Amino acid sequence: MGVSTTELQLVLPAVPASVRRARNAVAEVVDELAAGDRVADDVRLCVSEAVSNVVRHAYGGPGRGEVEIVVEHEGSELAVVIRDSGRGMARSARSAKAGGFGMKIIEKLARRLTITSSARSGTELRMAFDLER
Amino acid sequence: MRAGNSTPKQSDRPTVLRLAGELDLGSLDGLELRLDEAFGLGRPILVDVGDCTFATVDVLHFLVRAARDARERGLGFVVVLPYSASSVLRRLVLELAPDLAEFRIAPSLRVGSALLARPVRSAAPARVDDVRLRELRAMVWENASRLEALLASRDVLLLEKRRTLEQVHARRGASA
Repeated sequence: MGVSTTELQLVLPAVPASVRRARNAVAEVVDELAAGDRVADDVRLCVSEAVSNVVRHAYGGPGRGEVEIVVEHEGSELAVVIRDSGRGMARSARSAKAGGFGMKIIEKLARRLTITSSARSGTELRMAFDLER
Repeated sequence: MRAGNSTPKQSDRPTVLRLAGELDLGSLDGLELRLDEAFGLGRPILVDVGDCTFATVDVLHFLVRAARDARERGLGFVVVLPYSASSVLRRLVLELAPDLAEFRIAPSLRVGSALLARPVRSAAPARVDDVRLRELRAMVWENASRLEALLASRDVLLLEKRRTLEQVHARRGASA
């Protein structure tokens, strides 16, 4: 088992402007890791959708909380974690079928997607991408 | 509210709304304002996303709402997605969320204008229900995009060749 390195840890207000800031910050990491254009696009899109979901839904409206973005790197895998301390995501809303198109896209593009959520501690979305694809 | 069949007048010159740069949730207020201005002109609308380098699902939802609003106002509406548009845009519209993208698309302003002249059917005018048709449309865009990239590379090579030949001729002329 390899060693996981934290490449980025960023906390932003849950406001619309943070979607771009989060995307750009993660894109810099992906560029430094010399991932292909396709992977970079996939990661940028998934981060944008995940942060948009936090802004829209986690706190019942924009500007009422924060979103944390963590990027970890281990071997050829990149893990992006989007975390909030909002009101949690109902179990029925966690699948792409029930969720919006943003979740559908994340499920299509990420190699793995894990969602941990509770009404007390908020939601954590962990998306894994293969850098060598 | 007006729905149903509508044929934009041929004399209606479309309003072209050009979207550029990276667009996401944070861009929506500005987009809505620009769309309202465009609707205010009362002409058919072409939304050109050729200079848009990135977009999220929120932007697709915006385009879907815009198409619906245009239909209700009896205005034609086409999204111009050039073959050379950014790959993120093409994938989002054609591959990742084709069932969301319920608006007519055209590869150029010229084709878009021609589409505007066609009657708009009521309900879901732009919807391509059949999965296979969506796949074929995505393939058309993908292949045309590759072709355009190849032609652009060919043009660069031809230009370089021409410059080299001119330099060779100039050197020969100077030494003669």
